[in-house]
Amino acid sequence: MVEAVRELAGGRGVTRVVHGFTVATNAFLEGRTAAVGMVTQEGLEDVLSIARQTRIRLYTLRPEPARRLVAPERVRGIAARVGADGKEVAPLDPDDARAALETLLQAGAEAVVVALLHSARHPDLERRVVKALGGAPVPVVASHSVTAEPREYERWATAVVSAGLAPVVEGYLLALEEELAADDFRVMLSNGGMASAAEAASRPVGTILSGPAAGVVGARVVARAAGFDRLVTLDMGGTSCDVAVVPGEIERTTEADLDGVPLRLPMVDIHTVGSGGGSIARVDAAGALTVGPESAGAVPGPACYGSGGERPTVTDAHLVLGHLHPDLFLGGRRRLDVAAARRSIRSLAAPLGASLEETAGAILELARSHLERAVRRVTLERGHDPSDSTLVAFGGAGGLHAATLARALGGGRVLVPRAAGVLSALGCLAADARLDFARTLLEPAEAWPPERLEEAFEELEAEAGKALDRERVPPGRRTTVRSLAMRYRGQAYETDVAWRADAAPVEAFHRHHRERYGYARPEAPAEIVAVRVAAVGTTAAPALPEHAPAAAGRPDRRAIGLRRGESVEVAAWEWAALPVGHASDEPAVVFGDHATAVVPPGWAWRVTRHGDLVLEARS
Amino acid sequence: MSLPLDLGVFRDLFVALTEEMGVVLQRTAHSPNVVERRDYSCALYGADGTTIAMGDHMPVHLGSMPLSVAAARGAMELQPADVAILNDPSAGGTHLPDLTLVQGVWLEGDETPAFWLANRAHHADVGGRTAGSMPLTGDVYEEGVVLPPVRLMRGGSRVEPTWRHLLANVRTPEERSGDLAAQLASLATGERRLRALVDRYGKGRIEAMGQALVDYAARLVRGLLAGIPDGAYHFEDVLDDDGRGARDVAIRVTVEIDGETARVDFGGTDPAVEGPLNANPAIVRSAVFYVVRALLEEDAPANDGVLAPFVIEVPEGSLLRPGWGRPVAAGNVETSQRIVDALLGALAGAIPDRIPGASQGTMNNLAFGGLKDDGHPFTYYETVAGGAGGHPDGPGASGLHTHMTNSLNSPIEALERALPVRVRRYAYRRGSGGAGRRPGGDGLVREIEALSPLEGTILSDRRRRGPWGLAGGVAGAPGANWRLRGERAEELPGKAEFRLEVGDRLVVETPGGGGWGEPEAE
Repeated sequence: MVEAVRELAGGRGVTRVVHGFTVATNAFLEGRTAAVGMVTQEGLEDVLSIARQTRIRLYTLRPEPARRLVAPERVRGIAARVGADGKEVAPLDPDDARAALETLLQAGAEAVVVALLHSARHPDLERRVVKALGGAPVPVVASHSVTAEPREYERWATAVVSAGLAPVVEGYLLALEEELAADDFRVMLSNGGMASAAEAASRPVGTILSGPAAGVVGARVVARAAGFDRLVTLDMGGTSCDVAVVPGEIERTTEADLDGVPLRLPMVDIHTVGSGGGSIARVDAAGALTVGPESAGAVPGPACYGSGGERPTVTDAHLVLGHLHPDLFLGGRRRLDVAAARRSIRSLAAPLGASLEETAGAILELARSHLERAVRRVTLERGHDPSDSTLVAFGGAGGLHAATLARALGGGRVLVPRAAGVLSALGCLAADARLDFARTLLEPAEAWPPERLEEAFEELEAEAGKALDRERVPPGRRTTVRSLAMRYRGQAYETDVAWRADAAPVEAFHRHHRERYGYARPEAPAEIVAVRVAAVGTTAAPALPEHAPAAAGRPDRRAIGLRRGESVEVAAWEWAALPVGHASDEPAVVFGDHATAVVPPGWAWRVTRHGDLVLEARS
Repeated sequence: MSLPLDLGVFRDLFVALTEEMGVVLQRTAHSPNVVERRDYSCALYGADGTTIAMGDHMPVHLGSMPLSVAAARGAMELQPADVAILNDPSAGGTHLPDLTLVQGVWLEGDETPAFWLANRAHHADVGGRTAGSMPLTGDVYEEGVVLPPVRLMRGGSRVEPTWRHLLANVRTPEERSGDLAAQLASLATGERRLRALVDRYGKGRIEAMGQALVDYAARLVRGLLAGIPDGAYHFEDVLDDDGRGARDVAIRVTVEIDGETARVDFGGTDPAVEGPLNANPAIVRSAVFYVVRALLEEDAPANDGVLAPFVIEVPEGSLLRPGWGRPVAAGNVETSQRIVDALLGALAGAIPDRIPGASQGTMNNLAFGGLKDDGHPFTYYETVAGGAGGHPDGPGASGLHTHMTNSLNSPIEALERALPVRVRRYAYRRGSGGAGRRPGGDGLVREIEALSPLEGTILSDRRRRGPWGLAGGVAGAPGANWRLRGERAEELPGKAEFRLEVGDRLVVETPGGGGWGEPEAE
């Protein structure tokens, strides 16, 4: 990779590198993390392992528990404890804490998390334990310093994942930084921002979903250039599909999960669906067609890859219907075997009593239906309506499904970026520096009049300012974004409400609740769960390259299959040959280096000056 | 239109609708029981009340909610934008804290509803003698306010007398009101989505596909039954006691498999009891429903087709069809688990290589209440997980909810912040899983200290005999309940009302799962 960067720089010094990476994600998913030990409350040593005491699958006689994050021999309880009000229940005996540490070290702990109750609101005891463990030969981290989450299991889990990733991420980033010797080396974060390597390494869990986050940032840059603001982004690859709702600004959540493990840091709000080009189609025991969740992945891959896969996949269905070109897939980098695809789909057509084309069409409709269900749920959970958004479809397979999906969601506009396969890279370049700060309050809103809130915000902003100093963000580019996490008393989920100087927070919360959930309870008492400040160092939007077709291209004609075995003749374009400004009411298929787009009948489409495709429903 | 090609799409559409109802209910409810523990269900029914789709929520609600819809329809002429509420165990309810809301959806030009929507949430208190509405009583009237189907909303407006009456009879009216608002918001979401579906596909297509999915589920289940050897398989399992003197209350079942159909006969089951262990046929349906879906390899849609190949017989006057007036608080949460155990025990005679040892077989229902610092009353309800049975394919999981429930725990921090309690222990109960080639999972220990005086009820079972093992596997350890006062430990019965003074601790030790297969020699 370092070679490639040097080559890109063409012998000049490398000035600025923003790196998005999946090292943390892969290490986590494959369990290649440091052995973490945990100093926690006596009597509650198993809390992390019990998790929420629920099974993952409801209907099974062999229920599976949650994933275990810490080996039982690496957990030790101490008696010191505070109550919910912060008052001491049992005093700290530093010897007790040191003895716990000693046991953990003997059990092979390579990092230690201090995980005590109520520390989000009352962090003092965790701090004192960390202090008592000063001089430990391994890193010692307090759970409250990783996340402000006010639920013990979720906070402790996040902190344990972070501590386990620390050596992996730190080692990787610091080595890379040194080798690259760039003037300015930055790392993409899961919150859609970026930070210095040192800052990222200090809270490694903050990088774990940075790849998909960069994709959303990139999609927003492209969509803005095309004049669209309210978006649903759809990043569809071989095995999964990432969906995000962007109602103008990028939204963040503190409720993300990865592989069933809660990661409670502000992250770009992305929902992953196990549906992609590799999803396998089959006929089930009662004779119905099903698609997924099983996936052929990249290996063996769809039947048409000719890499040993024989089972029919969504990609095979696209190929059978002519949505993909056997010689032009990924710019011709991979040749597809049409005969193998037909063979695989035919194996289903017979038991279904349908033609080859009908079967392929039904597979695509079912794949689309799974996506529709996921997108609806995601948008509803976030209080939005998908029908008034532009669907930005990227990843290798996004453009194949986008128009039919948009129509099913009641929407009428789709954007397929030309750089559909490399939007993450664009997102890295466009990302602002962004660091999040929070203080947990968990108090009635009326206990926090404006002056008091102002003080709390200013404290966080002072911290934020120091961080921006460390990040060397020039004064002219700094902003801070204030918000309050609020809920009605009794509710367990808080919601982030943007802070406004001209509106009382409680009023803003009622309004927000009504918009998002359809009702408000002005008579009910509200709580402030946390005060949040995001420190932002803005980055100038990168200039998008102009689309310059090699030669005035002409389309071929090509028959493609649609639902129910109907076939229609369409214009078949190579993306590189599309003239800027080209507009058409005619159905089409566009083959590009990174992606393929299908324009079904009933849609008008045009080519922007950046070479992106805008599709608009005609009725 | 080709059914095999389209079923999946419509299944997605219907399930999505119920999921969206669930999202709205959970996101907007107020009580920890609904929000954190997710003790609720949402479903869509056809014009005749056939279940078309149900979200993957609480198994114990699955088979019983259709009876709520039928009861509401039978009791009144609902009009557009009316919503009925009910909890009457003899009219489609299960136990009183489960409040079910039912509404019809009229399509343009129709005289009668084309579809029905319903949701059910377990409310933390519906009045009655003790906080949490699960007293150890011999009388349903002491369990809380009984609501036969009545209108909660008329033409989109609140029926104030109903609201006032209900809220005047519960300990935490503000929270109840918040949860009911969330249930209404959930119904509204379901109706909106349903209308959008009808606009998109037409009423006829939606109805036809709803029926096709019911037929499809029935086909899947017939395939399952065809793979089970024909024969009559009998099993008997017992509940420890009813908390009021009756001991070893037996559930007897014969599962008769005949080709692609089955008859499930609970003949011989003990008579109704004085204590709150009485169940009803709605709960029995839920238990059969659960067992069938858990056995299916394919993920069958949750609709009425699942039970179509079954005939279920429940004798009058038995524990499972007690008649009016009997207390029922634990029928839904305890007896339901034993019904599942009995069914699985019977099936182990037919398909021994697919049935695990018994799981904890109880939900360890703990309800308590008292006064907060500010003098306001509070109520709280939780269930505690236990061990899963060892399975022919592997060991049983520890500290997990099994079979008829899957409700989350309350975060300790949330609990301690909201209530005058301290959670001293929440841990695996090591060694409680039954030995076996595939050992049962361990139960849990939960220890709660009172910081102000509390009164409460525990309804738990498998305190006298542990969950059975299979194929030579050893039974899991029975559970136990204790009150610790200073140095003194006092064992409480499986079903008990208790009082905790400041500093007293309640300890709930939950059963381990039964083992499967002979334990291997060391």
